Amino acid sequence: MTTSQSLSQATEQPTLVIKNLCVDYLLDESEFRAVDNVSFNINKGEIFGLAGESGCGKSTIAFAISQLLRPPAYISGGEILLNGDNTLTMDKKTIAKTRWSKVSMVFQSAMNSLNPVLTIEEQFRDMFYRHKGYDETESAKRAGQLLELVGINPNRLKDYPHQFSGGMRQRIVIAIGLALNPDLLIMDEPTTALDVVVQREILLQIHALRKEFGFSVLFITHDLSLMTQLCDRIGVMLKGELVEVGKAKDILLRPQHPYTQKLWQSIPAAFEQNIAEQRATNTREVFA
Amino acid sequence: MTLLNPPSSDILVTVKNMTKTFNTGKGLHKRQVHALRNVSFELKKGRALALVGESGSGKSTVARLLTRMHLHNSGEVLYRGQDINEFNTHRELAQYRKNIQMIFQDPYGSLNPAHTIYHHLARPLFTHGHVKTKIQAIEKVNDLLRLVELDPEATASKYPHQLSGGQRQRVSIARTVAIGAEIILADEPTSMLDVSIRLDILKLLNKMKNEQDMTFLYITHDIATARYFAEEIAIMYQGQIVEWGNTSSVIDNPQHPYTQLLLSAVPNPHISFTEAAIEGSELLEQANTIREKSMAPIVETVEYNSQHFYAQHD
Repeated sequence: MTTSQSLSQATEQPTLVIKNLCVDYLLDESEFRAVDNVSFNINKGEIFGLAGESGCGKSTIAFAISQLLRPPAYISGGEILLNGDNTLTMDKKTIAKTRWSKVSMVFQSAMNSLNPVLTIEEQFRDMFYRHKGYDETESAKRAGQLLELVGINPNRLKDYPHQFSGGMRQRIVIAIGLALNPDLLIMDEPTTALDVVVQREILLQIHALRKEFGFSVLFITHDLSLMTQLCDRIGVMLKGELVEVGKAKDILLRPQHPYTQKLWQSIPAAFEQNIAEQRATNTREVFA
Repeated sequence: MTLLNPPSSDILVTVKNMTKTFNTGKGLHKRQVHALRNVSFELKKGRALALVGESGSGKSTVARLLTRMHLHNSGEVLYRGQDINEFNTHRELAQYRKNIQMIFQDPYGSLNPAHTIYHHLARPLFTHGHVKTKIQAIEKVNDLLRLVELDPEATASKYPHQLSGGQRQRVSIARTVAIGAEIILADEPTSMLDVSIRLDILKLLNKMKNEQDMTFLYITHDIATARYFAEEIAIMYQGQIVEWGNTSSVIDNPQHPYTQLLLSAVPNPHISFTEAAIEGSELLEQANTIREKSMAPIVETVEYNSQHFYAQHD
């Protein structure tokens, strides 16, 4: 598990350190261990992917990081260090401040997490008021900039969520997630419901934005191809355990754990293998 | 249903220049949404046509019009040579809907949580008169469950919440078979399932296509599964089919700019985003131009090869 973990972080403090994290769900008479002794780091500006099928605990980790786990789930062991501070020992007030300004989250069904009776402008207002104390005009101005960042025309601020397509709503949620320049953006299946062009656009934007702003991303998906493209390093989870961590390229070309190999086999390929590799070579030639 | 002039027996459904416009808004905000513009395609027996496009391209509207949940504004939909708008009596319509069934995206929403799996499958058997007695029904339900590779003893008495997503989708598939459908409109049947289960469901659909000669309209935004499952593919954008034909020909040699855009965005694990950054930014710059151009009405169709066509715009 720790073998291939990056060693190049001696000088800089990682944005997120997870050490031996265990999360249990209390059942009637027993406990179910959803996350079992998981450790990994996310460096500054790094995109780290967590792969695995549903129920393997990847979303539970995401919830644990922002302390959003509700009973019967509880963190039974380990440490979560955000910029070196242990989030598990923080008091409620600090956590409330940390959320969104340090760690923001885009959920799987995020496009449905917008309030249907508020305009887009109003969806931003609450967060800006609480964290920054912005007034209406200030918040609208900043909201407009953020919408532009994710490729939506700012003149649509006064529209309601139902007037946007799914992809646009998802981008609005990402814009809200980036609003306070967080250190860590957690994205739990952010583009699963979107078509590939929109997915590519959104993720290229994320890819460019993290270069610009230097935030780290925890990217959760079950689309291994996509994850390999986007992420720097990938962790593969199986039944609560992290079975393999490695650079994206290694996970693709040299998967070590049988489960990772099985995951690759379960994906039908869009292109014939040789065509896929041919395109990759072409891109690299153009790049070089 | 009587058939006067059965056309070539291969073609079950012919869609010709189908157009659908929705009116939205009130008063000053009244406007028209052109959901489908001159859409034409054919569904052939025992084959699958993949309808691929982004959300809002109108692909689900096609399914809704085919099942007559909405009526199209103009154009024709022929089922075995008969215009579906002419099915006006309850009996004709029921007969038609028996033959054309849908599988929905969300297996969690399409089954009634208050009923057992047995009920879900036995009810269409009774309503459509496939079985008369309970003994027959139990036997048929067990057959159906075996067909979709579920264990009859363990599954029949369970409720939907006791099944996994993949198992539920299998029940939805069994239900369309129970009704006796020959055409299945599958609207993103695997997109809510786990990766590791997706392929199994596709294999099951493939088996039904090959062994039971069922016909599929496979609506998806996932090119990879379309390639795996469908013989033919039609790429939709903004209510128009911009490119269609043999699946591998279209995917390997895309001609229409939108298809090229779509295919270049399909995740290819061999190209990382850092490497694709230059190509990617070009793509992003071009994307809106391509979108605008592809929005324009189609003026001409061009034949790339005998089984592969693409559209040209103004």
